[in-house]
Amino acid sequence: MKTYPIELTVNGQKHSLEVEPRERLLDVVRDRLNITGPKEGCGTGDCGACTMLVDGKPVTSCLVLAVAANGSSITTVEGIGNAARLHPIQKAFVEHGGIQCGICTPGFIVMSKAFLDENPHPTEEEIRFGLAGNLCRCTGYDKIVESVMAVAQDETS
Amino acid sequence: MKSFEYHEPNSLAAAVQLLAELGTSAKVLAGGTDLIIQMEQRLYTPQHIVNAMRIPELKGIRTTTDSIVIGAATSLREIETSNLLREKVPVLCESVSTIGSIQIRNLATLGGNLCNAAPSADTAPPLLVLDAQARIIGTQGERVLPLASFFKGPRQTALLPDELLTAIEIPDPPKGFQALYYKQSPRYAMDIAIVGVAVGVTRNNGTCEDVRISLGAVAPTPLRVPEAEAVLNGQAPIAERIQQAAQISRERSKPITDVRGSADYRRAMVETLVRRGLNALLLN
Repeated sequence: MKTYPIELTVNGQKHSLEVEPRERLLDVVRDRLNITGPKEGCGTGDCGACTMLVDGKPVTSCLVLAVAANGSSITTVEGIGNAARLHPIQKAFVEHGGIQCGICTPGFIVMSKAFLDENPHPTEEEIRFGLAGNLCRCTGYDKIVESVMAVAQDETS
Repeated sequence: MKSFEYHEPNSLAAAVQLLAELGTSAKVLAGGTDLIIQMEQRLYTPQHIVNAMRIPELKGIRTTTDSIVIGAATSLREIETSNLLREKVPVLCESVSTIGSIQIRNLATLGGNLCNAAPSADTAPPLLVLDAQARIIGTQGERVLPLASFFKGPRQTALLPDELLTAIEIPDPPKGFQALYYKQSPRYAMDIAIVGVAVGVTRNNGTCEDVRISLGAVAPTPLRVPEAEAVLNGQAPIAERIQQAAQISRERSKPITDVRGSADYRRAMVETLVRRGLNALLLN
């Protein structure tokens, strides 16, 4: 199969790769670069588990062809924080019970960060609509919303 | 998904030439929020993909002396958050906000929503009510179509194989014109319209003018309902005329029954939502 050379900067690190056009950004990040924070939950852009920032914008990476993302700067949850240095959003999710099985969590962390960056003082309703593209099977969402609300309120005080 | 060859033209001219060469063996990729899914499901298996997102002429929102021009490759998120559009044509921003999620709207484009031509496309009824026009380019040059002529059937547009939608042009709405869009769907978000209704009107001293009614998801294509509009145009907006317009709108709709709703329910909701929209704009 014909491959195309692309360059992706992921969490600050530049990678040069040869990819088939049909490889999705999600696949390249997870399987070629071994960055497994983003998950495949549906493959149709409905669940948000694959959410990454591409040039600062949250997108469902299962719908992005890696070739189309050539030259982009990408941030996954790994670029937002880690066990050694939790981002305040991650800390809030831990403290407020916004995590159960954890499979939706990377997508929620990335989306919450992007959302709060644009909407630092949201109402609860705005948070729920802002996160509408992320599904969770475990928590029933309330504690996720609480976690995001806690971060938002921290920023106002 | 099936393999394909990938092309990334960086000018309109290059894109048109590519499409002329490749014809129906190519599909144009914009945000991918419809096409990638369709290719994964093998609804389409194009041998060639022409990425439209690196063509500068296709992006951006600008004004002319008497219109607003939105590049076909402008993202829905950009439309949603545009101060210019919020001020001039808020109904478009409102309808765009009902599509997918923020993640989807960062990828999806106006051109993609229209060229995918789902009968339920949420940008269509508002744009039809705004009398929008489709700007198209191909090997024969440029042409402009009223948006109402752009949709030919479910997933079918008036575009020839060598053509690209380049922009949507919206004439500046008449002074005092107001419009709304109602999207009826089971979920608050991430859902497809069962019924989409856009209504617009200019109130003028006890009569209404520029009455425009558009329906989505209830016929093979989005449509305007001129017979319903005629009932109110130039007339005083009394409840009986509003009801008549709603009734005619219901009769003009040709919905199907599917997993999302029955044809009967959709017809009933057309009447309800047209009446609700006209009441909201006219009776307060």
